[in-house]
Amino acid sequence: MGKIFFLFLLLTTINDKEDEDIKLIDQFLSGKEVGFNRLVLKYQNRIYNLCMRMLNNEDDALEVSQDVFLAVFVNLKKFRRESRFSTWLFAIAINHCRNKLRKKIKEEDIPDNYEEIDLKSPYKILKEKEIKRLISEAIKKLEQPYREAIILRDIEDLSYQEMSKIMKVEIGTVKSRVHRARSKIKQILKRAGINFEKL
Amino acid sequence: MKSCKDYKEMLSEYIDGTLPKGQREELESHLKSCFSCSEELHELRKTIFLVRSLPKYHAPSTLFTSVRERINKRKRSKSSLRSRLFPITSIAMVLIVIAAFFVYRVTPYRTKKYFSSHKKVKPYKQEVKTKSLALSPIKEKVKEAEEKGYAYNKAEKESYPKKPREPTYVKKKIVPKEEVKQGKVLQAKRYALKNEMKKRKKSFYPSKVTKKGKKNIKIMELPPTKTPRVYKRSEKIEERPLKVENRIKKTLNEERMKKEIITSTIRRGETPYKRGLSPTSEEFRYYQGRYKPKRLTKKISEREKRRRIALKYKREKAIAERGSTRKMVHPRRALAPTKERGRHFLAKGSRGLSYIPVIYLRSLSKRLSNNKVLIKMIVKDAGGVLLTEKKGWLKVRIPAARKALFFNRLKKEFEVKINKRTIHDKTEIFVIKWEGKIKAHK
Repeated sequence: MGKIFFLFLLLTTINDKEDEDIKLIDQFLSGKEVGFNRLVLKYQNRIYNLCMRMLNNEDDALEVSQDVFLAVFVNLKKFRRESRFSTWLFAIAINHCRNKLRKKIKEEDIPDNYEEIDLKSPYKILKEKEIKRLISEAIKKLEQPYREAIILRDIEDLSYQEMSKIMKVEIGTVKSRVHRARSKIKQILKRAGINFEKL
Repeated sequence: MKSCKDYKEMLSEYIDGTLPKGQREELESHLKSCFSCSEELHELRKTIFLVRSLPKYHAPSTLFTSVRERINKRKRSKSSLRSRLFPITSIAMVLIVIAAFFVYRVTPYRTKKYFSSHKKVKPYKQEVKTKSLALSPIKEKVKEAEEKGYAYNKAEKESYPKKPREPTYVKKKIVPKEEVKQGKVLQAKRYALKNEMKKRKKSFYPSKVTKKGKKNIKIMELPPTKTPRVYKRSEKIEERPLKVENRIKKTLNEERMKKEIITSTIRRGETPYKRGLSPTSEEFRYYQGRYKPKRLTKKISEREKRRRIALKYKREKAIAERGSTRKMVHPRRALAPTKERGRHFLAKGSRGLSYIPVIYLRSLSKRLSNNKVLIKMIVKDAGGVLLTEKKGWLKVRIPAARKALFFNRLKKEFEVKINKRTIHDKTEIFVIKWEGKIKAHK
């Protein structure tokens, strides 16, 4: 009984969230810009986080997230409400990030064969900061599809279905990409000297 | 039978809890027996935990404001006059064109006079030129000749007498005395008319209107005055730079003025001291005959011109024969390895410093204690070219043969970030970035 009640609660909260978005969108489409402002304030952190993880550059992330919200402002009329608003928003954001990366591809960071990740001292490995730095470095080193997969799945906590809509690939490929990304990160961390047993 | 590899691929889904029930049970039973798979599961779980524990970036406060700013900007540009009037103007244009066409077709008076003057309207008479059916005398003759069967003689054609022109006579009028008087009166009248026209012209400008003029002239509307343009706050008033010709004119004028001042002083018999010129100024020296301003345009004599043209032809001929005027340098000679240089030969312009450690170089001179100068020197030693230099970054082009050498040395000595941008196989562009001041490794 308790489980059912919990499920019911969870569903209602999800529905509430969706309803809130839809209300705000309707408000915006009826001519009140307060709706749009609230949408921006609601999602700005998530979008910025996504852009930051994808692009690894504060200026670029800020620019791209601005572009994303501008695109939302222009195209909100075309939103068909077949999926959640957040899914649609993330799809736009991912597309913008891809475009930015495509432009940036000419000027790329030097690949790892020039130098390995340098560990300052074995002391610091124990420290959380260093580990976090290593993880973000590892995410940075992933190829783009894998990076997208792990960011959407483990950082933004989206479902596989939503991810398939955002990335415009089938669920099977999404699953395999997520798995590969995780195992790659694991390998990189292992190579950097992290002992999983002690963690 | 599934292998360990297959099971390992299922682990990720198993952790997410999206694995179907049958597969999940199968995997669980396998995990109990397989050590490596269970270890893999443990490690994967840890990595996922680590990734999820990453701190989340918070959007800067400027994001919202800048988004709003951009939206407002967009709105402003959209609602600007041009875009708002665009449909109306286009429709109006089409209407005007159609109206003009109809007016042109319907009105019988298409002359310029009709539209310009209102005094007399002469009805437009459509002149229909009727071609006379009769042939010209020459053509008749030709036809006759053809009918008879022989060619028309040209001489005959020429001999055909042309119509003599009517002589023009200039008639001299004999004017009686009374008429002379009348003519004088007419002249006076014409003069009065001219004056009146002048006054009318003056009346356009209210400040210049005279009392006499006001009596005779009807009240006329003032011409529309130009309203001065009001600049918006956002608009920047930019001064237009002078054109090259104008600049030259300006300098010439200045030169002339200077000359005039000096000559006037001489004419007046004043000393430059009296005029208050300082003894170090150019004018003073000019006055004393010590300074001559440069001639702006040089006169070239005819002989010099001819000489120059001949030289040009000679050069062109030489280029055509040799291919280029430059001296040829063998590429191997430019990059020849020597004993001192070792395995990595140096670039042509290098000073051979790329193998000396930076610490030693610093002790050589004060200039070399600047890290930026050192970096530039390393670039030059690697045969590179400095493309752009800005605050915080440098862009250089390095030949591909020495890029690894350059990169390793730079990475070893300084704390800088180096990005790479490939153009083609032979050269590569590197962007060297740093924050604040360039730091050197100790």
